[in-house]
Amino acid sequence: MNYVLIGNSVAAVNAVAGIREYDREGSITIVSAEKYYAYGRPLISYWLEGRVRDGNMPYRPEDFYTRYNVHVLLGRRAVKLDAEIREVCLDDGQKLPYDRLLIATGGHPFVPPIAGLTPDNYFTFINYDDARRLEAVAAPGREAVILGAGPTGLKAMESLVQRGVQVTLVELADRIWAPALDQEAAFLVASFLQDKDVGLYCNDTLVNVEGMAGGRLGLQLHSGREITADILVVAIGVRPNIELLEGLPAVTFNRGIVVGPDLSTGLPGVYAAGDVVAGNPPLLPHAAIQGKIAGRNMAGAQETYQPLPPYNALGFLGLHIISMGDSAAGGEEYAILKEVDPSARTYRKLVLKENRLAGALCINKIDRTGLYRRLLEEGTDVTPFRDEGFRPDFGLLSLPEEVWRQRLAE
Amino acid sequence: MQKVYARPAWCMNCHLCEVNCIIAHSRSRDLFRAYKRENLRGTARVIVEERLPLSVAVQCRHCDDPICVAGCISGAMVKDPATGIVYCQEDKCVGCWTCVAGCPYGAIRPGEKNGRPVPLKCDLCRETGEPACVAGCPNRALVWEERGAGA
Amino acid sequence: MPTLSLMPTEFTVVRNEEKCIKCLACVRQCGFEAQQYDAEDDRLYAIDANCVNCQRCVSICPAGALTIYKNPPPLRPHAFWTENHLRNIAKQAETGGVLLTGMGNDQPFPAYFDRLLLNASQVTNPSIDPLREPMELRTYLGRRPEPGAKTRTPLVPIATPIMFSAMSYGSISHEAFASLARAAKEFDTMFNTGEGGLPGDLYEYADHAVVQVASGRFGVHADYLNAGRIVEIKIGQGAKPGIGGHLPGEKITAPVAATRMIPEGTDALSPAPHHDIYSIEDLKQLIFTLKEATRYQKPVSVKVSAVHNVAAIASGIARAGADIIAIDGFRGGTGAAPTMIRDHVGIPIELAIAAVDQRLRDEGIRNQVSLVAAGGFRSSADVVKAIALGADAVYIATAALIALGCHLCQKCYTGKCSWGIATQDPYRSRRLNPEIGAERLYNLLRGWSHEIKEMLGGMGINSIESLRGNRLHLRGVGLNEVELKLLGVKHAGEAM
Repeated sequence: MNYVLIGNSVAAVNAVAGIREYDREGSITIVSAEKYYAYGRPLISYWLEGRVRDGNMPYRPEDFYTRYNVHVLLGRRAVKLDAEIREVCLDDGQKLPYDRLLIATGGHPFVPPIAGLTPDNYFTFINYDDARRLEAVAAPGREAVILGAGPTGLKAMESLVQRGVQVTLVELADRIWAPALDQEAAFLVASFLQDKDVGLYCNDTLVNVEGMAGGRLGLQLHSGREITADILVVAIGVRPNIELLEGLPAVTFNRGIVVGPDLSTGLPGVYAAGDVVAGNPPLLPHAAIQGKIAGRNMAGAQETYQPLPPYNALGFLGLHIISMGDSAAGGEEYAILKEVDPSARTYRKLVLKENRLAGALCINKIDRTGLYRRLLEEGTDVTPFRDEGFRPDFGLLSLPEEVWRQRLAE
Repeated sequence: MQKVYARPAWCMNCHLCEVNCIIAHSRSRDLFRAYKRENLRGTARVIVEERLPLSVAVQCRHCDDPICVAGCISGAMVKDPATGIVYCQEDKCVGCWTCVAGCPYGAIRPGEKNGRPVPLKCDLCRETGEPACVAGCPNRALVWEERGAGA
Repeated sequence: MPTLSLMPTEFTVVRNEEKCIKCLACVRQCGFEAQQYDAEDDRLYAIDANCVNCQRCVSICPAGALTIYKNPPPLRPHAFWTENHLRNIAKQAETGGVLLTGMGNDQPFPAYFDRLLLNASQVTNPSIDPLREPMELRTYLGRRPEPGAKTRTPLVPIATPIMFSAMSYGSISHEAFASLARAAKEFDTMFNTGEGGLPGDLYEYADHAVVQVASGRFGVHADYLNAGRIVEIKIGQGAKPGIGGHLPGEKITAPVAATRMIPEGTDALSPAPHHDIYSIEDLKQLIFTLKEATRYQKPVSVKVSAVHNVAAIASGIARAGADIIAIDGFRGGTGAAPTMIRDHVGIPIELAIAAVDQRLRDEGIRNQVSLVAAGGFRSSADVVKAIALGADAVYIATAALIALGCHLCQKCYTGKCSWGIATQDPYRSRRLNPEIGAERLYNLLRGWSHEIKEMLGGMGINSIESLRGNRLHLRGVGLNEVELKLLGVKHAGEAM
């Protein structure tokens, strides 16, 4: 069996492990657009602030590719796919035949059209090279504007702040990270950022960029506000990298590639995993799990990917947020349980819908939040232990006896 | 695989598993040094839950497909393919705590050692042999055994 | 509560702060709330007044940071007005109640075991090495058939002449009870249900159970009698001769109530006498009622306290048809007894064995019954001496509880036992895992049995049968003429 994996990030690496669980012999080739062995993309902010060095960037140990007998083509792009003869063409003209192909191309930063924006006057923050570019300019005392106060923007903010850069966040929505944080939580986070001397403009966006003397940028916001900065980071969102499959018959798209329960695309032998998959939250755990399952299925297994509710852990400048499911949800169909201590900057919220957990949000009090995640994932009826949710000793024993007994025996 | 199983009927809430865990994961492997010099109080990788009279020691189940490993952004958390033990390569951990958010047992706690983040989770004392919590349990409320199914 | 306690605390808990790691194991394990933790100040401290010196905290402390000291007598030492008397009077002045206590008589009465010494073979009669030659400890309990009589009741063999004495489920935890049952079965000896019945889940051990029928008749039914191996009528108990028992309602949990066949939460009162027994003839009726109920398949034992007239009583019991006579000496333990009764009623078991054995021999009926002695066997040497004095076997209870963790704090009656033994509180009882308990009891039986074999071998005897009543193997030291005569032994230095 001949496996070709397009992409070399978390989904692809986990696919390798998945394949090798079933097939020790088959040839595996990875085509990596980047010139690095796989690294966890979220690590770039840690690298930029100096908490992780180059040596600790690799996602898997050095011998991973040799141990799993994987041939890696670094710095190569797949430019064309011929599904008929099962062949991938690379940007250097090389042709790779495959029996099984994995599309794990991930996503690219979405950059909206903004007057005056040129590739040279802004940064994105999604890969190693982005971080390296930023490192060159992020000097103490400089000023940066980050467009987008979501997870990417916040992590970029953190690393820049740690490098002594004065940061201002500009967010189109009415609050920080609106999909995950409700008003109250966002306010708590905003006040934290204020204490850390981070600027924040909500309900606003960038409409014009112009170069100024000394390499500085004049930024005009929608509100009419004008600010200047040395660094502009665009961190609005990502779009799936679907170019390779575009135009091919039998493949459907919904922003990303639509896959079946076994993660196959419409094309024979072609699977997809990770951020490129339609409807998949662009989160690392989801990419890893999909990669593993896609790999197993490529090698002959018949596993189904059960969509995993989104969950995310985000920490910056000492603040830790764990969110899962519809953590920002409000409205009549939801019951909200909340425990807030503004002075300690802790916040815990459970979102219930029809007595089942629909979401959870925890700030600075994150012990054992995985227990919530499992309740969310399994859709457990929480009625019998609803009152236990915020007990300081919430744990397995909060659950019905037959449940905790079962879990202890797992 | 051989795992630690709790027998809640005999857990007497002494929390000595936590003490023994802390000693086993200290630099000195000595009770007094671990607590008095290394300041490791509260860093146990096993959590004794209490609903008195019931109590039980909860720790990593070393899942077949561990979500903490899948979710680890740095590749620090791994499952040893040979032993099945899920453990963290602590020098690689950046303290994002995705593992904390993921663990379906709440068996990973955010911790710190010498200013570095450390996910406090059971590694079955993989460097020393029999898990210290089991060896030191005065009432055999913890056993280290192979139970086959699902392991 | 009085506004002022007249007596200073009995014990002081000393914590070595240099060693304490604040793991709080002591706080969680103290059954008497003497160990405390102040979370606000992150400080551990002790309420000395609550400490009963059960040593649980000392044993559990991983840092070895705890020591409990007995405080010196509260007043100037006085040989007559001892500390005990002072404390008791103060307590009664406060409460106006009967003084209660647990375990056995702790007063400095003479221990005759300590004034008896064993013989050993030298030159003329070779000693035996039990590791090289067979040594028989197996003992058969029950009535030996009279010549010509057809006795249908089978004898009960036990692998060692040591059985576990009566401790009821209710007075001790299910865990302690199960430990005894398991160990008895594994070692092939007997445990004794006491007067609280046999819990349903322990019937698998019933073939190693002496099932008691006491004045309260708790838990007695046909299946219970027939499940056991020996049926025992409890007339009296060494720790509290002449009085009944009182298990307070708080210990009558649902499973205890089910086993005893009484309503949950009601006091279980055992009357002082059996109200259907006022004579040897009445006793005979009950013995034969039980024999009938068990189709003569179970030997019937009758247990009495060692009291002044015990020899005549034993004779009557034998003549009433009992197969086994169990005598409980004044050192015997209890879960609860009035202190005055425990400390001042009854006689030493050594004298009782000798008196009963002699009386039955004199009357020519000693061979008809087995004689089981109970009450204060602290070592295998005590067992050997009791058998040489005339017992067939012994019952041990205090020693068994010590093997399970008991530290003789004597607070059984409070139900707060820190060791999980004398309590029905699941938080406390779960700390005694019967797997471990049974192993420890088994080890104790194994160790004692081995020692008995060595002592027998030293005397040149290869069977426990040959020791029974063989008082020539005993010598007294420091005993007066009367004592020597009663014990039927010569003084050390006297030849055969």
